[in-house]
Amino acid sequence: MSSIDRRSSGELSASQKIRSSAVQALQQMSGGGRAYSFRRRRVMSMLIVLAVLAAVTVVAAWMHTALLHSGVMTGWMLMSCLVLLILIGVRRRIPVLPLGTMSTWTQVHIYSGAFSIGVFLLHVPAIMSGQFIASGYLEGSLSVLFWFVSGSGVYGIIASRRLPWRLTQVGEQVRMDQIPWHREQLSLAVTREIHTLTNPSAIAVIGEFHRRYLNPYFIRKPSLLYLAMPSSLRRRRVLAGLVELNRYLEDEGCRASGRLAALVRRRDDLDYQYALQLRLRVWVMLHSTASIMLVVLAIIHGLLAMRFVES
Amino acid sequence: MAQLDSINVHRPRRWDEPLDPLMTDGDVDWLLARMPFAALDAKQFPKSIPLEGVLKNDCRLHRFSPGQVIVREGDYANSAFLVLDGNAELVTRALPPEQLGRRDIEKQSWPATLWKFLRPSGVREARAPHDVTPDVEIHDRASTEAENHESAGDSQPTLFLQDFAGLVRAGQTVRLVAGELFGEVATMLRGPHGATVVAGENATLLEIRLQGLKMLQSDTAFAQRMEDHYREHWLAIHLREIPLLRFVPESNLRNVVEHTQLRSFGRLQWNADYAKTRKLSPAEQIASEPIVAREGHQVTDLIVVRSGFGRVCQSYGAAQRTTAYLGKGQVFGLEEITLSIIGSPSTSTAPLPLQHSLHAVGFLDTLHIPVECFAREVLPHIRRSELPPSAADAMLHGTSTTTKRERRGTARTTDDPVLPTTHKLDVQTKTWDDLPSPTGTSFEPTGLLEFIVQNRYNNGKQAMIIDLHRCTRCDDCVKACADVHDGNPRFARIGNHHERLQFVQACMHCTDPVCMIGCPTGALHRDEATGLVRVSENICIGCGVCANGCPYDNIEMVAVADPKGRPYVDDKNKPITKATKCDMCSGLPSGPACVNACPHDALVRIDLSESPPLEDWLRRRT
Repeated sequence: MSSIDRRSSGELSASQKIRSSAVQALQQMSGGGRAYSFRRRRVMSMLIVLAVLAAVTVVAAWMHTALLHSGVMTGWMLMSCLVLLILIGVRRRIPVLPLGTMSTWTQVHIYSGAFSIGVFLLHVPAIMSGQFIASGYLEGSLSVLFWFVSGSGVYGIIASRRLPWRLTQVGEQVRMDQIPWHREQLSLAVTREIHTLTNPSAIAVIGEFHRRYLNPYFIRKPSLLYLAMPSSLRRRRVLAGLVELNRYLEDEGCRASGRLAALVRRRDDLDYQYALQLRLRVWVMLHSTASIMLVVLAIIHGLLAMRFVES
Repeated sequence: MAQLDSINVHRPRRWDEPLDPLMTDGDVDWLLARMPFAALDAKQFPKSIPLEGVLKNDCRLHRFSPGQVIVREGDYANSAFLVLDGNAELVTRALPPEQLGRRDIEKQSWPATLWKFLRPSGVREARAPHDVTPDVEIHDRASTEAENHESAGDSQPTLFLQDFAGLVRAGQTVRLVAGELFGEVATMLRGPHGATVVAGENATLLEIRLQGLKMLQSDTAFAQRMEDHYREHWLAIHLREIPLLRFVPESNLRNVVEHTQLRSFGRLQWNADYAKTRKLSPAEQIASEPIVAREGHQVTDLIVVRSGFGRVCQSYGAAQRTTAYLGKGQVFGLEEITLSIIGSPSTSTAPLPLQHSLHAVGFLDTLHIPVECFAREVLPHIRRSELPPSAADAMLHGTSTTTKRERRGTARTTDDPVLPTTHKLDVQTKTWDDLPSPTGTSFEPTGLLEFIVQNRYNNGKQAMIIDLHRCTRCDDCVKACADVHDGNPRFARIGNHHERLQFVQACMHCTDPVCMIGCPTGALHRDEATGLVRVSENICIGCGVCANGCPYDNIEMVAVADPKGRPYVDDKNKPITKATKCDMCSGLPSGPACVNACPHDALVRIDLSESPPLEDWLRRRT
């Protein structure tokens, strides 16, 4: 088809089609044309990080060929990034001053972290040859800490997006500090339920089940294994046990068993909320503690390295 | 079945607690001999609520000293005042807050804020002495008026305006003489007083509380007098505030004022029913609401919301579904009226019936502009860009009076404010995102709208919403709030939630702040500059009326102590309590600490009185 025919028919050429589909894909990816969405912010920030990293790589390569210490430049860059990354903790503790929102600081933190991983690869070229942990006590510890902090940071991004979603799906929205009180209330509700039983068979059957399984389930705190990897195994076993009891119970007992099953589910939901909220808090603690250690070790490493460079 | 014993109790009655227990039959007779009560027809009052009863129980006689403040500008009104004797002066200029007994919150400097933050008192609800007692001259009104009678309920502090004589000499006051009523518009609309009124010489006034004022309107002459007064002094001002009418010439506006009808629907004290009605299902709630205009009926008036809230519904299957909600200044029926007048291409010349119903949510006060009057006086002065799209389109392509000049004008009017109308959700493109999701990841517009209306969150100007899909439950928002308030958080991360949105129990700085209704001192007031509802703690007497009145339980009464931990007590050794609530960190240089402290963009303070801010915020969450 000639260009004149295409123009009269309004059909696009192959190159125009490719260009328009590329623009469309980019717009869709970045959320362009709409309000400044999170997706658009993500894409734009990542593009900026990649562009700056590419520029730093070019400069480092040029310095290397010019027999300059590119490691000094990347080292200072890393140190600056680490200081910037750790400043978020300072901002978090001073809410009274107009130092920008924590949301902005978090974005800067995330993308500075991504940038510092790239700079770290430039700073330690041995990683490219498969040596992730440096030799020597100081440098080895430093690289272990760096990878731990970076890994926990990446985990943090995923966890802070996925865990809230999981928390929202489960039961009531309970504050972590109130969970022990809610647990106690559930335990009391179970005891009350047992005490209201009047049918002798129900008292015997449910009473024994309460003594052997329900009471320990409601009194004990969740195990460390559950806190690390919460699962529905305990709940399913207790519920299966309660269902099994139904064949030995009259109507009243069956209804009581149903109410107890609802309490078991609520307790499991509480434990699940507790485990996930605890995980988010433990993660912040580990990440921030390791970050401080990393900065301290990085300063020592910097001082030693600068003495070597100067000599 | 054994019959249970019954317990005889006194059934509460309307006037068990009169406004002023000191009102005597002699006072009532004296009032009945004076205008306007002498002209009232007692037969028009129901037998259970006679005129004498209204005067005795819903009114209070005041004798004010010269310079004594009767009502303060900005205070939310509970009562109207009738000048019986002497005179009162209405101050025509805004007075500084300090002169009215309010302490203006100044933005603290960075160093001062940081110093305070680093040196917390460590005491729960610590206050400096000047925050506990007022710095204005306070007298006990009850003791000055009736020294021999002890009445705990009347011990309201009063305020004298300094240099009152100077204001009068400077001509900055308007004299109100015997027979004049003021404060009735603010009372009926539950709005703030527009001006401060100060007592002149020998001022004797009758305070008429809202309930009494409504009863006095049973007399058609009195009601007419009030309506005339409103029509004469206020209606034109209120109409002019409506964006749609801002280009209407003065002469046309006078005709609109003449033809506009005033109507009220629902119950003014909607907060009393709130706890009950919020538990109803949406269908039951919609069915229980008074209907202002019904879908399918011919449109007769343009309805303008003067105060309160309206729910816009549309029939869907066997029930009604909410498509929008309206607040103060918003209009209903504009699209139908315009299309009926201009003539829609799809409906030919037949008038378009109402496409939606309008229900009163709690209480709704409306202005009704008849169609003929609207077509003649208003429509020619409305810009096309301000009309609903279908009406604007009909105007452009229809047979009516569109000119080239008008068409050129459409491009220039893109900066005009978008007027809220009811049509928006009709033309909204339906996508799969609109359907309810079993995982709760999307927002079904009707469900969210109904949730907001059902819980009256549309009253909130600064509602706190948390996106639970991004909130890591770190409580940094609460900690930041506590840090900036000397260790006393002004909210807890609790509240109702709809799908992934949690509506947190923090003061929403409402459009209709019902908490202010009963405040006897005006300590709870709306800041003119920011629109925030604030507590002037130095004049808060700790009565708790606001905390009980807030339907959302967002105000807490706390016992205060000095920075050393010693509790403040009165002469009867009772603790001094103050109302506390979210103040939007208005004294801080950083703004609301809760929003600034959220690292995951999960928390927002948002205006729910209209839907676009929430829609925009939700749209960004992708």
